[in-house]
Amino acid sequence: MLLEVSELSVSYGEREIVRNVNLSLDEGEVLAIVGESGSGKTTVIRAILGCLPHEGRVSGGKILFEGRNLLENTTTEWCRLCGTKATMVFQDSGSILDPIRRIGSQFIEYIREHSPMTQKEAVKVAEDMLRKMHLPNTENIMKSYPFELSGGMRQRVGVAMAMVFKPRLLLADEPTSALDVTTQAQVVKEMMEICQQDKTAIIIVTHNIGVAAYMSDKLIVMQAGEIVEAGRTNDIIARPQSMYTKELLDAVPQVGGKSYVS
Amino acid sequence: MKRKELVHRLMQMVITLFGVSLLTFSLMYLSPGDPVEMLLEVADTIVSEETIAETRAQLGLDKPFHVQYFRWLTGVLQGDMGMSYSAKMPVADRLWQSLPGTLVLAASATVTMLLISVPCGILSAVYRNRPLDYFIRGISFLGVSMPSFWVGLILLYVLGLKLRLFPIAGGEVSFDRMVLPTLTLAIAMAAKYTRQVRTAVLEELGQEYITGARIRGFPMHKILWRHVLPNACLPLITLLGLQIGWLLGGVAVIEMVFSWPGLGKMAVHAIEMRDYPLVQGFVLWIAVLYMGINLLVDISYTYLDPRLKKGGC
Ligand SMILES: Nc1ncnc2c1ncn2[C@@H]1O[C@H](COP(=O)(O)OP(=O)(O)OP(=O)(O)O)[C@@H](O)[C@H]1O
Ligand SMILES: [Mg+2]
Repeated sequence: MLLEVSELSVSYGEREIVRNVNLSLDEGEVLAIVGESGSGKTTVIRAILGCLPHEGRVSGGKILFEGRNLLENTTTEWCRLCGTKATMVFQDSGSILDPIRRIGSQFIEYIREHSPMTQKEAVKVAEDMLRKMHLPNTENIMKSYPFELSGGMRQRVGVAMAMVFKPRLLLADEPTSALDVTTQAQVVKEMMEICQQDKTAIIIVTHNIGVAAYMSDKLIVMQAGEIVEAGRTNDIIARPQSMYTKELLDAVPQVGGKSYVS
Repeated sequence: MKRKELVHRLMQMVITLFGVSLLTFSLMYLSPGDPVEMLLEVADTIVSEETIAETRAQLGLDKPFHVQYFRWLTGVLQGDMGMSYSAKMPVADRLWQSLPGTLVLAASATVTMLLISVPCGILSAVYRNRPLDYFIRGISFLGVSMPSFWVGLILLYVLGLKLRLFPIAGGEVSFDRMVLPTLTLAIAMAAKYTRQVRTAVLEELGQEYITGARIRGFPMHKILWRHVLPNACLPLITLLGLQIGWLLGGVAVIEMVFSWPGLGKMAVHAIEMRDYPLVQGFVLWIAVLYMGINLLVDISYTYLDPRLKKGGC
């Protein structure tokens, strides 16, 4: 097992927001988490990489990554893990970059933080990675500030940065929700391609059951901070057990095929 | 900042200067006390009504208000700020004499203030709601609540009179005479600025890009230096401009307390003597400095924040 989360609970202040979450993930597997807004999806994946907001904390459970309990990590161990073995893509990759520094300089800074590459080598790696995400004119993008790129470009940059060290685990929090349908499909496809090449396991949080169906091997349905259904994606979509999952599926009539995520 | 905007700002400055000068001119005119009597009193001789009238005419003080103001204004526009009654020399020369004292004091106070408040503010933000933060906030609260002239007097009493570490009499510009007034000003400014630094850093620490940097595996100290501080600089520069604005006024009081030979002391003396042209010159000068600093702040802003430079707003 690459990742094994057992009986995880998370609290904000005194309020327990997420209770008793169990999930596991093998090398190269894709897990999708779906559920209504506020059900705790973001909270779960942020807890896994120890980046909850200031007032949040894990109040119980275990998070085993490659056999080690991440909750016992020291700050140095987090720095060694995050950004290389495990990374994250956010809904708006623009907002997770420093607004007053160029993309290129941040990308290079990031690469050189975790590898002994020279400036020149890092530039090349960064540009190659951007090209892999089908970004045209990489030189221009490197010179741009985050606010100068379109939503789709920003997400591609986000994925490119996240995947540069071929991580074992990629956590993606609604990576395409802010994009229009066509771009959404493209970005998801490109992300999947890279992850499959590198055998990166993914946990993707999404509102789009279509995306979940297309991408994932396993599916978790969350409601009000708890898992209401978990299993193989195909099984759940074919034979949903809980009322809530049925409702979710009914809300998307075209589920069942991969046709709309080309 | 675009050229058009700059021109606009400069025009605004000119109008403001005009207003400021008119206002001080009226206030001086309306305030009790007669410059001629003050002037002749100093000579300590009995003067006749005639001499008074003569001097009054000589200085143009027998004319109605608007004539006096207009005459002064035309002079200034031609680069002539008039003669100081009390110093008996051109106002511009008198201002130049006192400027270095004030500039040196203001600069050293600002630097000291930054050296105190930037580290304290950062520490306070990073260790928010922990003992160190409470301690720093407590001290800065104390600093904000004490009037600066009082702090100055205490410092004079303790460090100057009791411990004899520094000379208590001012009078000339020198390093050991500068320590106490610098400290006094720096304490007052640092108390406020520490809080502002704390707020600005906290604001940045709450931003998503901090989470982003942590996810990319950067240790906190690197995030702090490379991302948080440059970003926090933007609001802090504006606030620094305001602090320096305060300093230009605050320095006058402190110069009096420490009898420091600067513009402030000169101005207070000029007001006592009803030395209209010198007071006018001083006010004009301070207004120009103040607006100049604010303009610089805004210009630096557009250079430091790419969103403004490229967005063109
Ligand atoms: N910083 C915070 N402080 C307090 N409560 C929070 C905080 N962040 C989230 N919550 C609460 O935790 C619950 C779960 O939030 P979370 O962001 O995990 O939901 P989500 O499933 O990701 O929703 P969405 O689909 O809208 O992104 C919500 O009820 C929210 O009110
Ligand atoms: Mg969310």
